[in-house]
Amino acid sequence: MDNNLDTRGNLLNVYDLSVSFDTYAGEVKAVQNVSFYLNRGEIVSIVGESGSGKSVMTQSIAKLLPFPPARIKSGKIIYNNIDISNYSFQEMRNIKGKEISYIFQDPMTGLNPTMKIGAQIIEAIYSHNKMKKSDAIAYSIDLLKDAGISNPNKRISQYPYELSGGMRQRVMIAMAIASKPKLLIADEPTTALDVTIQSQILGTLKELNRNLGMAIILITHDMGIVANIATRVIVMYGGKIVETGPIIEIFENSLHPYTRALLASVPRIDIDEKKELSYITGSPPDMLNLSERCPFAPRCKYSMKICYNKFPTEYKANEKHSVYCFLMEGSAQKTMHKFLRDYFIEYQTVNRGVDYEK
Amino acid sequence: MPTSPSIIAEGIDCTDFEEVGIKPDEVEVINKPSTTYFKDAWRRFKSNKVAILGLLILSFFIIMAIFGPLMVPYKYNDSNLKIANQSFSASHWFGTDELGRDYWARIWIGGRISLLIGVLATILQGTIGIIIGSISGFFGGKIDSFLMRIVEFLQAFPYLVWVTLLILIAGSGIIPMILALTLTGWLSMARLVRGQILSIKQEDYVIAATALGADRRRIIRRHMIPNSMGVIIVNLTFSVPQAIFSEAFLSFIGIGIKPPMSSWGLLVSLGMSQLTSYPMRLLIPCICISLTMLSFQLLGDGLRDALDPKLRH
Amino acid sequence: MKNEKMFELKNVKKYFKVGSHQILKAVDDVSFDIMQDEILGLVGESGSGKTTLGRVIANIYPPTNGYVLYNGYNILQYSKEQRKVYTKNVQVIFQDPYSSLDPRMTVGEIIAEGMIIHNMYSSSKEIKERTHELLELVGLNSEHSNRFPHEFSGGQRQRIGIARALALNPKFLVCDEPISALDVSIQAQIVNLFKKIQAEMQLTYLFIAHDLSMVKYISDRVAVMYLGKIVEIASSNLLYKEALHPYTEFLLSAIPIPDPRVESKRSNIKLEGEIPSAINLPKGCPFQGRCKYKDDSCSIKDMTLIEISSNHWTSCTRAEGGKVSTL
Repeated sequence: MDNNLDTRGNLLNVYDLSVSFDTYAGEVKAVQNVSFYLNRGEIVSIVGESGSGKSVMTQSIAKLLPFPPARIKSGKIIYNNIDISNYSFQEMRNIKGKEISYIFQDPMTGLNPTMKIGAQIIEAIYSHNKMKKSDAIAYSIDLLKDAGISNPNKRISQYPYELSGGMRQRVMIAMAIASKPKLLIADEPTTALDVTIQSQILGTLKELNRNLGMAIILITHDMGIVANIATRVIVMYGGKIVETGPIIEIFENSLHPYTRALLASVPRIDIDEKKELSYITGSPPDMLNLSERCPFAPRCKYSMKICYNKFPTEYKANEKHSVYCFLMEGSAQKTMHKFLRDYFIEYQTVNRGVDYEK
Repeated sequence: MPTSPSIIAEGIDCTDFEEVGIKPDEVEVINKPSTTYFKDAWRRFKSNKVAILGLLILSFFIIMAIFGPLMVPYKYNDSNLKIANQSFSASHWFGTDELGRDYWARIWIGGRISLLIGVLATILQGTIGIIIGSISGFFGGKIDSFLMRIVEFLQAFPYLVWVTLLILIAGSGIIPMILALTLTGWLSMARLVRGQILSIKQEDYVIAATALGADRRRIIRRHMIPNSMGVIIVNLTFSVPQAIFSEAFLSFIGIGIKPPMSSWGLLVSLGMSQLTSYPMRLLIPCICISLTMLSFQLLGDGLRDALDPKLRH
Repeated sequence: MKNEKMFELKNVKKYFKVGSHQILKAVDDVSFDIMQDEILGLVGESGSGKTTLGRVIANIYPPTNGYVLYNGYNILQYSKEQRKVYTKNVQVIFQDPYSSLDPRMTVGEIIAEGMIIHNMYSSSKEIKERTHELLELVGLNSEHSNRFPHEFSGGQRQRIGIARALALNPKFLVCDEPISALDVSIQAQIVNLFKKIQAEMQLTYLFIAHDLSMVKYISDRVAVMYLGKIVEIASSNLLYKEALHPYTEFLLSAIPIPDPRVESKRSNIKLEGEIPSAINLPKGCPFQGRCKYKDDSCSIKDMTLIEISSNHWTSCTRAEGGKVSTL
């Protein structure tokens, strides 16, 4: 929690949020003590892999998880200066779908296969607006156009099965923006789609962000998508946030071993190097019965004894760039230099010419 | 390189910053204890109170069917007209019937017969159903069409009509009864297993087995049947009450188990004719049949919920 | 690198009947070779037919037309014993780690199944030892062999699938989108595992994927498929620098590059149109509907691949290399 920044202007502030699932085998600490903020009209990407907690975190904000077995253990969620942490489902009705919209990876989770597209969009419109039927129909055609669907007049009388995966996702987007929300949370919206369709949908999302001033949280594990669309990045691992910062900082000057390793394990099509693609040994942690330590430690080349005993607090590289890693401690300088050297060498090969002041 | 001054307060010194690096033993750890399909299912079953109730009721009847007749010195067909039609007493817990036979012994021998027929017939019909269903589902095409037409034809007629017909041909008694029930009862299992096989056929692990060079027998035996086990077990559980009821019905109308043998259905039939004078002789066997059938239903429901793979993950 | 052809595909077609009248042309007249010891990448989007083609090569589906030659012999003409031997030589890695392992078998049983089918070892002790060896080779522990698939993560399951395929000491692997369902950091891990195994066991791969960046990294040559046809084949470096077919250019421009400076400078080519279905394809080039260089000759185009320069084959040269450098 940062008392220096003026947080009143932020659309969303999350403080120290922890969410767990109670299962027969024990407590699964899906999200632990995360804090972040979101500005109005910003596009932030949450990057993480399976088990990182990225979906659970955003679904907790939008109150989309089943409570129980999910449980918000601690923390505050402040949306538009209102504390919604303890809001019931009833109180959330004015926010869910209206101010905060959510789209999932599989568009069929939100589409009724037995209803025509037009009827479903109108249903979405009516849930938060009153208008005449003819206006609603006209509006739904506009929404489909904004979402990038060709031939919207034809589409409204079609059923979901008649549409391709990309078009279905666009219908979901149309439904999500029906009430002109201030925040759209998109959970891996293009993972199941072909790359040419993905490119179109990312373009549509960017347009909507520009035209509606709608903030977007885009959850993904694809660093290319992040580079394409986001202005700020939040990196998650093992239920915790490990680094956040503006996009150029994260890609070129990241200070967390996980972020760097992740970036180094993604091949680039525009670079010819046949050098070995580095990778991270092992698998993401088992989220059951976690111990108190940095979850990345066992896979981290630069881990130290302390990493196995505690999780680091927030360190600020600069005003906008935070990292949660003990390498930032003065006493860790030797290991930190090793870390920077390893990746500086890497950067040299890629001919980036980044300068480091000692 | 900007580094922050230490903001960790207590309890640290410079040894805490010794390098450790990657710990290879910890990178592939699985924390959850290992479970098999059945252990997992048992855990789910245990928490279903209604299913446990069904199990308890059923256990009661099975225990009584085995040990009940042993608890009294009388045999089920010892008739003694001098003590006919007695009510409940210390020496005859359920009284005696019109021929002076101990009713307690008769009820529990009847239970043995009914349960035996029910379970044996179910196992036999289940086996036939599994074999036919697997062949039909696995091979598809003309074989499938042919077998399914037979199934549909047989299912078009009321089940009890078929069974009655077979009994009249085969005669009465335990073995003919089991035969008749087996030959008519395999239809639902066959359909079920065929459906399962058809859906499992598409699964990647079956294609993988084919790619490994597995022959058809191996694929059915090692991949398809085990993955249908849940469905098969549930169907078997639901089939037992149907077999018990069929036996009861046939004995009731007089073509099944005949006196002096005893079965629940037969006892119901005898009790019907004495309803006004000795109502307990109708009530007791009816309760036995009903509760036994109910307990199988509850058990079957519980097993279905516990074994359903979709609920697993 | 031996320059022998391991596979020769000639005019392979695989059509499926859909409903009563319609035909899905999943693979529509494909011809190319796979050389010994190479990694041939095969990319395409949904409906391209790449998975079907992989399965035809693995002899899981027989082709509707055309033939597949393995070391000179037509696999369709194999006897039953020869087919069994083929399964030893040609193995498959599947896309979905969640459905490609039998949930009712332990990991040990899954890996050992192939060994048992082909009677590779005489004692169960030997089988157990070999199973443990394979688990270590793919980076898992031998104690994992008593567990069940559902207890593992996607990446771990995929490695179990690889161990299962390697148990037969194959010569050729059809890798059907082996990394698409995996986390990003794990993808690099598995790809590196593939490279390591290829070197150690002298394997040849057909690497099917839709992620062109990863395919470029691992493959020697790459073939691009669109709606059942191969549109271009080239060495992986060349494909990127000098793509000739408009679809390849289209595909490359859509791939996001993990570098924000580069991404912001890319001209946003407005990519239009949806991927049509493989039923009712237009005559001629299947890409007509979305191609910006299209003209009337496209609907009567012959889709045979022509060798434009050394080992660079394509059916259309309108994108002509240099234009791809809008990137």
